[in-house]
Amino acid sequence: MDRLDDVATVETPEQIELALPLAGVGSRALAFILDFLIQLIPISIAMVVVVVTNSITLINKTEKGDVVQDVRPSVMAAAVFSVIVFVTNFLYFTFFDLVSGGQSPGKRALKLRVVRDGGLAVDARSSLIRNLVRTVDMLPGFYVLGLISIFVSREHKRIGDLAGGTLVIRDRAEAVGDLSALVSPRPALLAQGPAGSAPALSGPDRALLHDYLERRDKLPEEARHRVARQIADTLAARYGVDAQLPPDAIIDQLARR
Amino acid sequence: MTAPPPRGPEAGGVAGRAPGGLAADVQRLESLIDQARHHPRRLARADLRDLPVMYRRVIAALAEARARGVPIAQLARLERVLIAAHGLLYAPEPPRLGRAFVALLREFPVVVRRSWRALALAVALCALGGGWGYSVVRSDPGRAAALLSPELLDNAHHFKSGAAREGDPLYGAFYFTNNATVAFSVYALGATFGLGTVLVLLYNGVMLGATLAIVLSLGASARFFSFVVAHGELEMLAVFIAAAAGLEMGWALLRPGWKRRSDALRDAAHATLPMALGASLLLAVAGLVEGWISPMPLPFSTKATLGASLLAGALVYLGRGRGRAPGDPVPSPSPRQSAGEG
Repeated sequence: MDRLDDVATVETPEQIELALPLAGVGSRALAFILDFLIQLIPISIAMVVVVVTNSITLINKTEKGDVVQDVRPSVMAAAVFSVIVFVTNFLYFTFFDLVSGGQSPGKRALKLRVVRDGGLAVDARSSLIRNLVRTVDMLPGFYVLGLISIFVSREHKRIGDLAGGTLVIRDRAEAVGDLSALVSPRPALLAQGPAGSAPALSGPDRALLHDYLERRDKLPEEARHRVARQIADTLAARYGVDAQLPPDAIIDQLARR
Repeated sequence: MTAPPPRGPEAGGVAGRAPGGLAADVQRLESLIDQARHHPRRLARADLRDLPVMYRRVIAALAEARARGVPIAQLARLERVLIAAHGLLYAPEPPRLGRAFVALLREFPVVVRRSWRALALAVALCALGGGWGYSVVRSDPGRAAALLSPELLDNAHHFKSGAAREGDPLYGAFYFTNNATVAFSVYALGATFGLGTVLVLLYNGVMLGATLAIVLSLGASARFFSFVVAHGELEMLAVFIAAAAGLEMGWALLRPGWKRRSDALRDAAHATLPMALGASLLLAVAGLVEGWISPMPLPFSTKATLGASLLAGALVYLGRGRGRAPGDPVPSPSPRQSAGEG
């Protein structure tokens, strides 16, 4: 199973800790290579279009001699090309982060997901920063800075993750066991909880119990027995507890309500 | 409670358990999450009501199973679905694209004004490089080859002898994508403790200064300025703004104060992102002018007027634009000061 340092712990507002399993370098690198190959598709298509339009312009030029010739198609193709390269460079990852909840196609294939530091779904700002700073992670080549940062930082963050406040986590479907066996059919603690037949303590009685329990250990033996007897007699009758029990047992039982 | 939702059995309230037991709850939660991730706006009312109910049921089951000492490995599926549900339920709803754009237009001037020191530093660094490059090439034009790449050298000579090309808004695409790439880079390089941003500013200054020196020594200054004057001011301003954002990030890393360095970097990157994005908007305008109007054979005064009014418009927008910077994670130490300048 997971090593302890391979998770980022998050406490939910319900005060339950969840352990986000951090992605390793290998799967992240593979995911990036996949994404890179996918990014090449629109770029290479645009490149082919540029080459074709350019050669058509060239053919026109040789056929018509050197008179006025229309370079506009090749200018247009080149302009479209530069825009396509720009958009794939800077918006590919952010687009998919926002459309599919933190998963570029490469990450989806490797079962990885980008989330914000607290485990929250990634937003546009964090995603933009994370992916603009990617250019720094790539310096001076082959993601050297990014790799160093991943190895050094506590939560396996590249510099873009640090600046964006994001994490890359594993999101793998786990083998399904028998979930119903995990919990008792009715929560054991709740079954005998305060919702049962026993009436709850009134405010003054609760305060009385609180005061007694707080001082119980400091009282002299004799005084303690006397006070406990008094309290137990009064409250046992009021809340229907078996009066035959020792006074402190009655008090403890009432205090748990 | 009115009529029970069609698919969410409410038999025992949140604390109780559906007839199908935990397995059914987990399955329902998993399918809700899948829907919420890909088509969040298509969730039915009943789905929206079920999502938190299922989440609480399953997280209560997780707490109970942990308390009973169930091995961690058996809880993996619960944890996975809960991580996803927690991430969706407690994240703020993402704004629609149009609203986000309006918010950017309102935030941009405020953030730029707050970073006026960094902006001044960016201008100063570029001027420093420019002064050096200019004086070196002016005193010995032969050294231009050492400072400038062959392309830039060609470009400079082009102003002397090259044929004019036609103005075409399509050319704007090249200028915009190139310049916006530079703007995004100087912003991102702030994460190198600002070092990368400083170097790029100095280097660009040197190139500008050297080019200016060559053009002057060739006696081609009229054509040079006639080309540059319409778009150059706005373009430089935009790059300086993006660089200022990078310098802010670098400064946050150098002097994180009471924060951890990584937190300081994150806060600064988030606070200054509008500068990088806003700069790219200015560059879109500048690129259009550069591709279309700058090559036109218009009188110098016309172009100069256009350039000056573009710059003035940008400065008025940046200086007077009012708005807050919502979601700004940096507790600004002097909010009154920056508000007073506006």
